[in-house]
Amino acid sequence: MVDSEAILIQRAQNGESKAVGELYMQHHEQIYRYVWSKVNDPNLAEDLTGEVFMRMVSRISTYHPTGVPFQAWLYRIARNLIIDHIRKAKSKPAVPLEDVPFIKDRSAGPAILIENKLTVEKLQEALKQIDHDQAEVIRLRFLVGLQINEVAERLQKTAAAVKALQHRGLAALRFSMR
Amino acid sequence: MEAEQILQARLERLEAGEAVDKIIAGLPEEESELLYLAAQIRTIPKPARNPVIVQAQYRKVVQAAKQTRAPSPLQFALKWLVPVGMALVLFAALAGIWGGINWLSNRNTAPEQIASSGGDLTKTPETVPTQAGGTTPTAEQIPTPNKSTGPQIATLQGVHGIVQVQNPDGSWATIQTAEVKAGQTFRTWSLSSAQLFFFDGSVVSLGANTSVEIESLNAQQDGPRLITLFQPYGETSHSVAPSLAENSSYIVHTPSATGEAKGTTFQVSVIADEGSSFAVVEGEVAVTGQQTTVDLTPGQITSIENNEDPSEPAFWVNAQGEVTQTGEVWIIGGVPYQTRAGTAFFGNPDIGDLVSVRGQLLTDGSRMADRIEILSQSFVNQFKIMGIVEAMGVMRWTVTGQEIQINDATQIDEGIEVGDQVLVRGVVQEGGALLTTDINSFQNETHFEFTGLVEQIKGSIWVISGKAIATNQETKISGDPEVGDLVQVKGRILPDGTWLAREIEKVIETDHFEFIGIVGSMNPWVVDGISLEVSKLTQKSSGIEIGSRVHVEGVVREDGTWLASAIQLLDEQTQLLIFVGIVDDVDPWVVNGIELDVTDTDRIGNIVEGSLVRVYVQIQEDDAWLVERIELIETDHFNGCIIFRDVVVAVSDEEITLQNGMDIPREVAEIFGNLDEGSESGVPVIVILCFRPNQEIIYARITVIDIESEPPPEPITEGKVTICHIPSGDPSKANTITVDESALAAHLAHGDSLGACDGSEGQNNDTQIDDKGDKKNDKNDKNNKGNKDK
Repeated sequence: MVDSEAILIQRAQNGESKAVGELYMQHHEQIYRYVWSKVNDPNLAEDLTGEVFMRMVSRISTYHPTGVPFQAWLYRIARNLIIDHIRKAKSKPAVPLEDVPFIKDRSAGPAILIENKLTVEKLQEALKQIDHDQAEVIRLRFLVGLQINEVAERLQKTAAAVKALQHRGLAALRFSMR
Repeated sequence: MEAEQILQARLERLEAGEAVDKIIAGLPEEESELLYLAAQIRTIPKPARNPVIVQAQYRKVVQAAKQTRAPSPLQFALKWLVPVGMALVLFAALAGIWGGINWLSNRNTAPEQIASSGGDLTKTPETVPTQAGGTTPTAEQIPTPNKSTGPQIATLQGVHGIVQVQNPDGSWATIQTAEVKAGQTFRTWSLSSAQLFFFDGSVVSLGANTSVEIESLNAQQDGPRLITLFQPYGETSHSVAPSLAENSSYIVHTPSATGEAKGTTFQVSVIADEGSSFAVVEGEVAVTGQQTTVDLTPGQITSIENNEDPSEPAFWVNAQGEVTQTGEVWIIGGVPYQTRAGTAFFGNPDIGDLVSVRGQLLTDGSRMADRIEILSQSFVNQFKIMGIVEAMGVMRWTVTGQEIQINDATQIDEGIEVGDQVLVRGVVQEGGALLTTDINSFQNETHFEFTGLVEQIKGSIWVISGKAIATNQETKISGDPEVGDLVQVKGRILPDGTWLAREIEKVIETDHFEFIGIVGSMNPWVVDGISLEVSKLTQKSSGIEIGSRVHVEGVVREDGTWLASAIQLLDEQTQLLIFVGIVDDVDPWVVNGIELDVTDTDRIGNIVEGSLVRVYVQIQEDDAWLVERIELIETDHFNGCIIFRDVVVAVSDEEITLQNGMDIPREVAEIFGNLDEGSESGVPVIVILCFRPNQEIIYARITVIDIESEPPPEPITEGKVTICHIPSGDPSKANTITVDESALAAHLAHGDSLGACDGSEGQNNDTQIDDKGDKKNDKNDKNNKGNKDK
């Protein structure tokens, strides 16, 4: 019998290690995809995903089921960890800007999107150019593979707002990649 | 409809698999471009998670969860209830387990040997570790290993589960046997293992979830032997053939260290992203980390965190016992073991479980666990009854005179009627009520469940850990399991013998198994075509014979072994119950909050409040729990012994000093052979040491190896030990026998000595004595013979 998530979380909060393991199994794939979509490095994403769940273990007693949904809580942990990581990485010598492989060609028309294979590097660079919320929706929808209502739950927004962000995000991205 | 609504509607068609060209029909150009862009983003290759890292993270997370919780007094009370025999067996385990030390060959050695411990010191390069597990061939079926066909070729065989070799294009090919060369990488999956044979006779055993690359290979016998391996993760055992040629080398690189050996037996364990450890049984290994090198001698281990230097060599220990505390410090068999980030856990062990632990004796006298693996799951609070259904109510049933409680969560097989034979399991509640979790019928169809490795999926037939499992439209498959995944399978064994799955669920950890089947063989144990390993912890009903119908349960170990904890005859009906708990009061008797009716205090002995006890209860018709007897469970038994070869460098009237730096007090040492005080250094010996939890050496047996005589003594061979047995203390009747390592301590205690008797020719050397001291004819013991031959 599969526990509902609320019961599973309660069991985990009661110190049942197997329940914590089940939470890991339920969420690690999506958290990994999300982290990868932000850092664009599969190995780093593996490490950070592990850290997300270690942080989940240490803080699960503070999670209130009546507050944000559990998935949203996990994504928040992941987002904070990624920010921490980027902050630390910035304090180290950075790659000179001219070495960044992606060069935007704003003169190219829409066809470039079809003729040139879109790489994750190009996409990541373009996502940096657009509004943060829009970029977050694009990542969750098309890189992580969540449905509109799932994105809404994780970002604590309405489905209508997510649809609007999705539309505006794609439009901004298209402009940014030209 | 607004633009974002239209876009979302079209995206849903895209996500449903419709072609983008069709979806954009009728859309303005700008909106079409957005859809094209979304379609392109969706096609960006997404990285898949590395299953090894997933497994490691899962364990780390579970372990961290355990460490954040303090052991509760209730858990510590070990309140459990088991059928007749099981507790006795566990008691025997607690009281008598002679420290397990055979972890070098644990993964490839029959669990009977593992559970009963013992070191494999005489494994020759030609020795093939025993294949064990539910899917492995029996000893007779294992092909005789062939050496590789040339010095630059190694033979990979003895494959169990899924083993793969990497192709030049980076893809992986699943193999059963292969010839591999320098530059090739191979890997094992969960519940899988393999052996690699080199031309010079060296052998590497790969455990589950292990990868090895042959970096360089020239295993010539007549010139310098050169073998270099890279092990990014997993566990390997190395039996390195001696090489007299100068410049010979046998090197194992890990991400954190390099170990170099010349003619030795050692093991390498690597946990991805954590570090590695090297441990030596025989010979020497030099281990180099970032900058420094440490030399390991027999019995020593070093750990190397990534980007660090090796730790100071420590002595490794291996023990078994019941877990009474988890967290940063685990208490196993009454002995505390520290854990660290790199401590590996297998089978999700928890309080109450019986586990094997291997670790290190640190210089401050404490113990550090490197690996803890479950051997038998806890029976905390659980009960099990086999019997006949006598009455069936909504909230209560009666099974063989015992009332059991039913609630909405109780899972009951369909079609059970009064008079049917059932297996009832559940939880003992405060006050002694029996709340039922499962009632399985074994009237016509029987229940099974186990964790296994998906090896093949052919239409409706899945091969899971070697067992063909049928599926149909009603089979619920969850987690999208694929070949190579671990799954838990539950289902029914149909009257025609088909194992039909009701559920197949992808899981991350191995777990228990249970099924009902017909005994096909009892040596080795085979039930319903499944090879079972048994240990001295395994509870076996008396009266089982070939053809008996039995219920089998146990744990699936990391190497794929099915280790039975109980093999129970279905005809057996249990009324006597046994449970373990803490004494709350002795007047009147209360254990674990359950009041007991004690009529014969003479049979109880000196037990005080707070003691951990085992209670034997006969449940009366009026539901009173009449105590047959209460036994005190001693929890402070020593449980660690190590065995190794070494060289004595000094002997005084107070202590014996070994080359590895260890001092052994004379007063606890038994010496066999000529080891005179003040004798010159360099006397080769075999040493057995047993410790108390406080590290005090309580027993040492030092046997001088007579290097002049040929063949040298063979104290230990694949779980068997050659001893000079003195029946009834009468030296005139001394005869040479081989016994299981688990029985060694008992034999030594009554005056037998390690090694063959002097002048044993002409004596009865064909007799073996099993754990119970029963004699049996060697010719009938094919299993033992098979092990030896390999």
